Amino acid sequence: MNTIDIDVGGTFTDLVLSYNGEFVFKKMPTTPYDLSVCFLNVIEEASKELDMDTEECLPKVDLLRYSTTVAMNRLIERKGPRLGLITTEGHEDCILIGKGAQWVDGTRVSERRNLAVQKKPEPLIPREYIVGVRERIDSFGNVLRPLSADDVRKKVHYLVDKGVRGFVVSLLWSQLNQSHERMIKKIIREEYKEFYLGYLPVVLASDVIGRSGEYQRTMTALLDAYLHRAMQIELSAMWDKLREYQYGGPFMMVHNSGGMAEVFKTDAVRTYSAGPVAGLIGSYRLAQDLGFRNVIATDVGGTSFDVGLVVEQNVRNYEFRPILDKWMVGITMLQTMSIGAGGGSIAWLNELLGNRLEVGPQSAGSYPGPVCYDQGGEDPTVTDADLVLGYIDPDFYFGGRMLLNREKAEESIKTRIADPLGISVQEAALLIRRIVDDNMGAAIRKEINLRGYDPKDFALFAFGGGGPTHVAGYMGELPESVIFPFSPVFSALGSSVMDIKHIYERSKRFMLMEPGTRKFTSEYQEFNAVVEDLVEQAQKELSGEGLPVEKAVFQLELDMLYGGQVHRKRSSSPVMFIRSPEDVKAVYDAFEQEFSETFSPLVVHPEGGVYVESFVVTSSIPAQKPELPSYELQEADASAARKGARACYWGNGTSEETPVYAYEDLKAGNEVAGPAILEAEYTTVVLPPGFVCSLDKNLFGRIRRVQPGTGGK
Amino acid sequence: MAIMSPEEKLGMLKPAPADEDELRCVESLAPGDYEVGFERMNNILDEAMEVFVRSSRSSMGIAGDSMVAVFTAKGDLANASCGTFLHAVIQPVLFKFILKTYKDNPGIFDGDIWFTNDALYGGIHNPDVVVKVPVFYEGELIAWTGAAVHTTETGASEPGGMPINANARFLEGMNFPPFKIGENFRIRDDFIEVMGAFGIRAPQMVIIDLKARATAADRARRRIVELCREKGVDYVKGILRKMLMVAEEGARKKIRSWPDGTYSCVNFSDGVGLEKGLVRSSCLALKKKGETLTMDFTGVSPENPYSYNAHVQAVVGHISNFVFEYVFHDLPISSASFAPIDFIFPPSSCLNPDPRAATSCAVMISTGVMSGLHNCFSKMMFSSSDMWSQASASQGNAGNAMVLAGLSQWNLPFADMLAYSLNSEGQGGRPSMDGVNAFGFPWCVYGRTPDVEEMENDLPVLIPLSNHWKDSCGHGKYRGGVGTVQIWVAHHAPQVFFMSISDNSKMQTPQPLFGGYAPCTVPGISVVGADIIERMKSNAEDFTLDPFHMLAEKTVSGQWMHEFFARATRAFQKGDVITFGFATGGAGYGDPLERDSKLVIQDLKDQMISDWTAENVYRVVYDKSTLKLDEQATTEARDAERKARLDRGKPYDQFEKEWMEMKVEDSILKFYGKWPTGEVVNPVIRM
Repeated sequence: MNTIDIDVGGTFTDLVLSYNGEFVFKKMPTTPYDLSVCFLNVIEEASKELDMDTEECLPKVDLLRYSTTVAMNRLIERKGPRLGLITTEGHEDCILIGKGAQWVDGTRVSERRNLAVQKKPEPLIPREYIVGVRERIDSFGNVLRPLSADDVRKKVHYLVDKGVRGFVVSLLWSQLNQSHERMIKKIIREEYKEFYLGYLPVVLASDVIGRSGEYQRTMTALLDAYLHRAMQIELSAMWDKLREYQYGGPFMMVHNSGGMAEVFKTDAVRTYSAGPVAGLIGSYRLAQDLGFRNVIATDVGGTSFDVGLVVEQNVRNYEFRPILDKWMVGITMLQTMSIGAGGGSIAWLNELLGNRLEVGPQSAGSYPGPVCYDQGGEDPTVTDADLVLGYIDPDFYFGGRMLLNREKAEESIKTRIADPLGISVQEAALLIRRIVDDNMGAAIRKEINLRGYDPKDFALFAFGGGGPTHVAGYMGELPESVIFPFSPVFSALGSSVMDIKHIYERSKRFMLMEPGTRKFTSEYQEFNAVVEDLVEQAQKELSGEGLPVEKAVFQLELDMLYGGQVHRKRSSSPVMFIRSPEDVKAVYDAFEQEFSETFSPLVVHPEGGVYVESFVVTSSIPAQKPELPSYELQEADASAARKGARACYWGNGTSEETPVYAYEDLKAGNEVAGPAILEAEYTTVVLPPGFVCSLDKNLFGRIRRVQPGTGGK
Repeated sequence: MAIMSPEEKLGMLKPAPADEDELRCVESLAPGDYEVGFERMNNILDEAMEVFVRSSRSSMGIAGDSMVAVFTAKGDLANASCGTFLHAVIQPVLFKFILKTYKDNPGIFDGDIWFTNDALYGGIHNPDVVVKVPVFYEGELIAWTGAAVHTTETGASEPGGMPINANARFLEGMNFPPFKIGENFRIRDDFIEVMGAFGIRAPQMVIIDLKARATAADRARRRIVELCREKGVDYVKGILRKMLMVAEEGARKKIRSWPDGTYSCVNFSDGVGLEKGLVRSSCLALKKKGETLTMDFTGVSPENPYSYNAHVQAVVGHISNFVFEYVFHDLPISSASFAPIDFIFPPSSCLNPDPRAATSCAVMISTGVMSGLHNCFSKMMFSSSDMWSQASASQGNAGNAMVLAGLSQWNLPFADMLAYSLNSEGQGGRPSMDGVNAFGFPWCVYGRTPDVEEMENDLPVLIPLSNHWKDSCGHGKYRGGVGTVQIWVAHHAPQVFFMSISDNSKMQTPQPLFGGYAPCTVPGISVVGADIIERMKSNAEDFTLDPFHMLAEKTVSGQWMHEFFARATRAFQKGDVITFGFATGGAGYGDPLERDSKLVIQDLKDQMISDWTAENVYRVVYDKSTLKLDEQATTEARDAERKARLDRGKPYDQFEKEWMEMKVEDSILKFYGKWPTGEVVNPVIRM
C-alpha cells in the first residue's frame, strides 16, 4: 500500500511517503496563512524525489493521513463564530468560574507564582450569550424539573436577537439523560428553519462526550463548536485540491487518543497535540520491532521538548486533566509531557537571583527566531549556542537552504551572557547548552520517576530536528539512545503506523464490589447491556465509514474508583463482558494494579466498595505494519563517510578540530566515537567526547556513553 | 518541659550562619552547578509533591493544599514545592527543636520518621500534620525533608478538625509535639493505631494521609541521596546552602528598593467560636528601614477563650502566603527570604496566646493579618519603580468552611470539609485591572472547586444554584473579583449533618485600598421545611434561581433562618435548604467614581454587579433595557457626587476629634480588650 503521512507543525511541515516499499522523508516550512499550500508543497517535493510530479504521484497513493496542532493554535486568535450557550438555570456561570483557579490551566509552575498578574482567559462565550433554561435532571438521571419549552423559546430568541449564530447545549447530568438536550435542539430547529437565517449549528454536549463533570463536558462541546467551522473550511480546501489531483483514497486525521478517523468525522478537540502523540505511537511500534520493552520518546522542536513513555510495550497513559490551550476538557488523550525547551529557547540572566543563567521557557519562535537566522532576533538561543560551539554548520542548516549568521550569534551571546558573567563566549555557549540539556534530562527523570520506574530500564528515542543534536546531553543515566534517519520527521512516521481507532464512552455508576462485605456484583446483565450498546454503536459507525468491521478489535476500559474516594482511574478490562465471579475478579484485579501504580498502594481501599463510573469501548482496525529496511552489517570503520572536519568547542578552554561525517554515507555496522559531528539534511548529530554512535542493521544510530579515548570498545 | 518561648521560636526562623564546611562546599561549585542543581532540587520536590497529591485521601490533600520541602542539616528551609506556602517557612522551628532536644535521646538516625501536629511546637494549627525525615549520606546528616498537609479529622470535640467551641487545647483532639513514629523507614504499627483511634470519625482518611506524608518525604529523601551518589555530597550541601544565600540576598535587594517608613493597617473580625463580638485581629505597623522590615502587631485583641488564636510562628506562616505570592514570587521558597524580617507580637494576644490556648482555628484569626499585609505592602511598594504593579487590595480571605457529615446515598459514612466555597473566593483589585472573579482559595490558590455533578454524585445534596455571587466584591476603580454562591439542599438521604466555620459575618475583615470599598458581608442562611424541590417540580412561573429574587421575595416556603455564618453542628432533613454557600469577594482598589464607565456597563452585561450598584456606587447613567451608556449624564452624576462628598466632609481636626470620641457599644467588646487600644482587660483562665 502506498501512503502519505503529513504532520503540520508550527515551523515545519513533515512528510513520510511510502511508495512501493521505498520511503521518502521531506520537511518544508509551514505556511500559516494557508495550510493547504505547505501541505501540497511537501507532497510536490516528495514526488520529485520519485521522479514524478504531484499529478502523477497522488492517484497512486492509497491512504493519506494528516496530523496538525495548528487548528487548535487558532484558538489563541479567537476568530471562532459567535456562539450561544444554553445550560441549566442556576448554573450559567459554570464555564466562567472554571473550577475556581481557571487561570492556572495551561500555564507552567513558574508562570503561576506571581498572583498580581494572573487573569482568567477571555471566555469563548461571554456571559451575555449564556442563558439558563428551566429544567433539572438529578444525579440518578431522573427528571426533577421538567423542561419548560416556553422558556427555551424565549431564551433562544434572545440569543438570536443578540447575533448568535450557533448553539452549544450543555445541561447538568445530560450524560445520564439526554432527553432535555434533545428537546432543546428540536425546539431550535422548529423555531429557526434553515431558510430563515442560514444554518444554525446546534452541538449537544452529551453527543460530544458522555462523561460526568459539567465544566469539562461543556468546554469540550464548546471548543468543538468553536473550531468546527474553521477546520471544515481548511480541510475542505485540502480535500478539494487532493480531488483535483485525482487522489481517490481515504483522508484520515490523527487523534490525540492514539487513533485516527476520517477527517470529516473528527471532532476538532481530538486533533490537539496529535503530533507528539503520533511520535509516541511511532515509538511504540518501533520499540516492538527493536525489542525494547520500555522506551522514553523525546522530541526536541523549536519551542518545546515533548516526552512520552512506552512502558512494557504499552502506551495506555491518559492525561489526568487534559488541557487544550487554556481549557480543561473531558476527552481521552494520551499523556505526553511538554516543557519550554528547544532550539529557539532564549538564554537570559536572572538579575534578581545573582545573574543566574536561565534558558527558556520563552522562545524566539520561528520569527524572528534565533539571532543567527538574521531575521531581527536579538536574544541568544540554544541554536545560537550550538552554532557558536561549531556543532552546526552555518552553510548546511536545513540542507543548506537557510544560511546562518555566526557573527551575530557570537555577538549576542557575548554582550548578553558572557560579558556579564565574566566568561568566554564559548564557555557561555557551552553553559547555555548544558542548562537546556539538563532541563530536558530533568523532565525525563521526572516522567519516569513519577510513575515509579527506574531510568536504567529505559531506552531513549530522540527525534525532532533538535533531538539528535542534544540527546547526548540530556540522556543522563539512561544506558542507550536511538536516533533514526527519519528523526526529524518522526511524528509523520508515527501516524503511518497508527491504527484506525474510535472511542465510545458512557457514564453510568455501577457497583462492582459491595462496600464493607467486599462482595462482587452478580448484576452481569446491567454491566453487559452498556457494553453491548457501545459495541453496536461502534460497529454501525465502522460500517458507515466503509471500514472492515470484521477486522475490528474491541477493547473495554472502565473509569473506576473506590467508594468514599475521589481518585478515578481508567483501567483496561481484561474481559469485554462479565459472566462469572472470575470475570468480575479479573476486572477488579486489573483495576487495583493500575490504581496502585498510578496513585499509591496506600490508597487502595476495597473496604469502601468499588464502583464503575464510565464505560469506554475502543474499536480499532489495526494498521499495516511497514517492514523496516535491513542492511548487512559492515566493518566499524566509518572513514568512508567522513566529509571533513571543523573546530568545535567541548570545554577545556580551546576548540578542537572535530571530524564531520555525512550521515547518509554511513553504513550498517559503522561506529563513530566522539568528539564527532554527523550531518544529515535536516539535523545534526552531536557526539561529545566520551560517546560513541554505532549504526545498527536498520541504519539507526545507537548512542551510548564510553570512557573517553576507548572508541566504541 | 522543653516548650519553646515565642521569642525562641521566632529566633529559630532565622537561618543559622554558614559554617566552614558549608562555605567550602559552596566554593567548590563550578559555574553552572548551582543553576543545574537548583532545577534538580525543584524537580525532586515537584516529583515528591505529585506523589503526595496522588497518595492523599482527604479533600485538602487531593486539592494540593500541601507542601514538600528540603531543609539543611541545621533545619533551615532551602526550598519547597508548594500548594500552600503556609507550612513552608515556619518548619525550621520543628527541626531545630528536634536537633536541640532529642539529639541524644532518642537520637536521630537514618530511617527515622518524625511527626508533629502541635502548633505550640511550631505548626499552624493541629489539623496541619507534618512528617519529616532526616537525610543521611554515608553516616552524615546532610539534610531533612518534610511533608505537610491539613487533615480534616483530629478527634476533637467537633468533626472537621477545627472545633469552633474548643476553649482550650484540651478539646482539640490530638496534639502531638515532635516525636519519632518510625524507624528503619517504617511507621510503627502502634502509632498507626493511635492515629486511627484519634481519627475514628474517618480513620481511613487519617491513616492514608499519614502514609502519604511519609511517602512524599521519603521520596524526596531518596532522590537527594541519589543526587549525592551522582554528584557528590559536597555538591548537594553546597547547593542547599547557596539556596539560602541567594534567597536572602534576593529578599534584601527587593526590600532596599522600597522607601523607608512605617505603613499601617488595622483589621477586624466580628466573632469567635459561636459568639459575636468585635476583635481587632490585626493591627500591623510595618516598619521598613534599609534592607530590613519589622512587623509590629502591638494593638491586636487579647487571646480569646475559643480556638481563634494563633501562635507566633503560625502568624508568620500566614504572612509567608502573601509574601511568596505577591512580593517574593520570584525567589526560592526559603526561610532565608525571611531573614531580613523581624516580628513583634504582644503577649497574651490572639496572635501570641498562652500555651494552653486552643488554636485550631488559627487560620480564621489570621485572616486579619493576611488582609492587613496587602494594605501595608501595597502602600510601601506603590511608590517603587519596579514593584508598583504588585500593589493589590486584599483577597477575600474569608475561608468560610462548611462541613457535611452523615450517610451518603451510597450508604457510606462521610465527614468532610467541602472545597467549593473555599476555592472560589474573589481576588482584590489591582493597580491596572480588576481582581480575578472566583479566583481561588487564599490559603492555597491552586486548589480547584469540584464540579456540581461531582458533589451531587458523592454527597446527599442537590445544588440548584451554583453561580458567581453578584455584588459580592469590594467596589472600586478596579473592583475586587466576585465570589460564588451555591444552594445546598438535603437530597437522596433522610438526614445530613452540617457545621460551618467563620470569623466575620456582619463586617468584612479585608480593608479596601486607596479609596476602594470592602467586599460585602456573608450571612448564614438556611430554610428548614423548605419546599424548593416541590417548587422546581411544579415549574412555577414565579420561581427562579436568582438568589436576589429568592431572598427578597422568599420564593421558597419554610422556616427561614438568618444567622452568623459560623454554625454549630446540626441536622437537616431531606428537602431542607442546608445553607446558602457563599464564597466572599475581594476588596476594591481606588475610588469607584474613577472607574471607566464602560467597565461598569460590561459588569452589568456579565452580571457581576446589580443596577443598584451601578447607579448608587459607580454613579453611572444608562438605559436599563439596552444598557446603553449616557456619558454626559454619567459625568454630571459623578460630579454631583463629588460635590456631595465635599459637602459631607469636614476639616481633619474636627473629624479626628469626633472620631476619637466615638466608641462602639460595650456589648460587642467582650473579646476586643481595652477600648480602643486592645490591651488585655481580663486574662483568660484555662484549667
